[in-house]
Amino acid sequence: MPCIEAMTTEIVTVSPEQTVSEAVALMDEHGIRALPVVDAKNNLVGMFGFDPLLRGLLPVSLTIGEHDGLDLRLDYVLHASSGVAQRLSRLMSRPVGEVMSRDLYTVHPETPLWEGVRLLVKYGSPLPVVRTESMFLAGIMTAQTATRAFLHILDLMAEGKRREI
Amino acid sequence: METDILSTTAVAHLSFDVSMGVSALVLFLTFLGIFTEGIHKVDRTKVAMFGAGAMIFSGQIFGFYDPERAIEIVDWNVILLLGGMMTIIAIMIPTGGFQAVAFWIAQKSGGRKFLLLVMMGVSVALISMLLDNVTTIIIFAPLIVLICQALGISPIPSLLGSAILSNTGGIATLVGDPPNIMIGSAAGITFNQFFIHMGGLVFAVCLATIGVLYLLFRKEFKGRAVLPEFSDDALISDARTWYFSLGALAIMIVAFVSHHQLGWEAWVVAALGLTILLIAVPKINLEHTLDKIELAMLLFFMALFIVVGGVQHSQFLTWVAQMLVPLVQENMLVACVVILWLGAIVSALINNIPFMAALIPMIQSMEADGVNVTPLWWALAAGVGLGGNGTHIGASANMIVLSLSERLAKAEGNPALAITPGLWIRKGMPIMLATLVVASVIFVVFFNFFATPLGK
Repeated sequence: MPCIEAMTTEIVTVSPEQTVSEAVALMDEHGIRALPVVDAKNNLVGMFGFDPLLRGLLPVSLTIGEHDGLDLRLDYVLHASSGVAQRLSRLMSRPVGEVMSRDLYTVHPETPLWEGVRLLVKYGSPLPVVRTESMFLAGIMTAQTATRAFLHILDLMAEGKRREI
Repeated sequence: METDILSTTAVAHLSFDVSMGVSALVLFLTFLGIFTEGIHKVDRTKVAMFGAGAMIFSGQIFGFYDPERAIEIVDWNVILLLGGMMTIIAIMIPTGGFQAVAFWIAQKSGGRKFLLLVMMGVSVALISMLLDNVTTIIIFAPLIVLICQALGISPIPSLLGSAILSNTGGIATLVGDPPNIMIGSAAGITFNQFFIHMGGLVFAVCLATIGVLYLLFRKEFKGRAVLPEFSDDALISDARTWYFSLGALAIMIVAFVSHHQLGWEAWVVAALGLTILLIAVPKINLEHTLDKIELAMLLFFMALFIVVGGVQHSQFLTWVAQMLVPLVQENMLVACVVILWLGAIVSALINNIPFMAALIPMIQSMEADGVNVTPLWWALAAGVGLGGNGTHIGASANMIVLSLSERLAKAEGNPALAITPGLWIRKGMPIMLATLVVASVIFVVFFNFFATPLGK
């Protein structure tokens, strides 16, 4: 079974020009935690979600490679939350294109589902499904849609329809 | 030590030959490749490795060099000492101990901005005396930014001051920075001799640096920052490893002080400290720790030793030194001051390690010609160390601070937080010049002290 059969095409997307606050409102409205960022031709240019948003709230000292990622502890300073909230308010008015993650991990519609599952486990859900070359966003595969696809396979096996799998 | 190889050949008067020309050309092209790294974007280690290969290959053709001699010429004391110290630091960083030290300093400063800079800078200078400067800054620069953000003040003075004091502190000891390690190893200088000769000079220079920093940033130091509430019960993440590391460092300091009596080269002390630490803390994952070692840097050193070994064996360096001997002998004090300033200028403009690698054998061959080179070693160590402060490319610590501040400015959307190359030169160059003047005066006043030959 290829990834195309395990993806959903009901996707909420955001453009790089929209603001972070619009993107956060969209995620809240649809109860999701990440949005594919697409250009006018529906080609994938980035991913935006709560994870990169929270990463943007951390002091820059923590996010430089030399210090081993997030090694520095922040519990030395108390009552810093209001300062962090101010950082968030600055982020909210910026365009999504500046905050989104550009390190994209994608699958193609024809990628075998098993490989898709490996990438889901390695890089987290959701995983955009894009056409080769153009990066045209065909759908997204999530932990839910992948699990659902396997449950579907079980059903088919129970019905003895081995060939369709 | 290579002195014995060279001493037999340096007696006769040398004339220039083809081997010298070929080896000098390979050396020149390799150094050119290394110094123009920023333009062609080929990593300097790759350039040095290519140069090392070219030197061995041309040496075999012209008969002045071969793989066996290349292996022998590598100063393994330098490589193993650097590698050993890197490993110890790789163990210490994740414990969170350095972070506890930095926040303790922030708390004690009480929000006085100049005091914070001085305390931070002096701590960094002290740590740099034992650990590599670059590593010290990699550890402390992000902490300084974190603390200054918590205090709501500009991190620029503390970042710049710490990088400069780290470079300066490193000059004081045999193991403080790579040029010293190279000098000490080549000249057979002991840890104590090094500290006795350079400690006082570095102390005076640090005072001058702090004074100039105050003048340069005096506007920034006005007013007192509001101290955030610090947590009392934030503990070091891995206290056991941290305290055992401090214990190992203490043992190492004792061993460094007596390494000469023990008949140990400096690398043995680092290896001893590391081995004690690894056994005392069984949970240290060796594979994981060794992943953090900058092998590219060690490889760079090995390749440079091999490249420079070629010009040593072709006797090109001896030939150059032979021409310099009369000049040096005529007025040693002038030669020292020249090498102090020349070393500083070279160090401010280009990577100083290749310069050191080539100059050290030249000084050694002057020694073989009967010159008392002792004061030249001290002048070189001071000049190369202080020169690194003048420009942003003068020392790796400067580059780290620069790139961190640029990232900070971008993340905060505030260009004023970036230390630009121009800003570095406006602040660093006056410090470099002031400290060189102080060092020159100390050299002139205490010349007899620096010129006394070291008993080996």
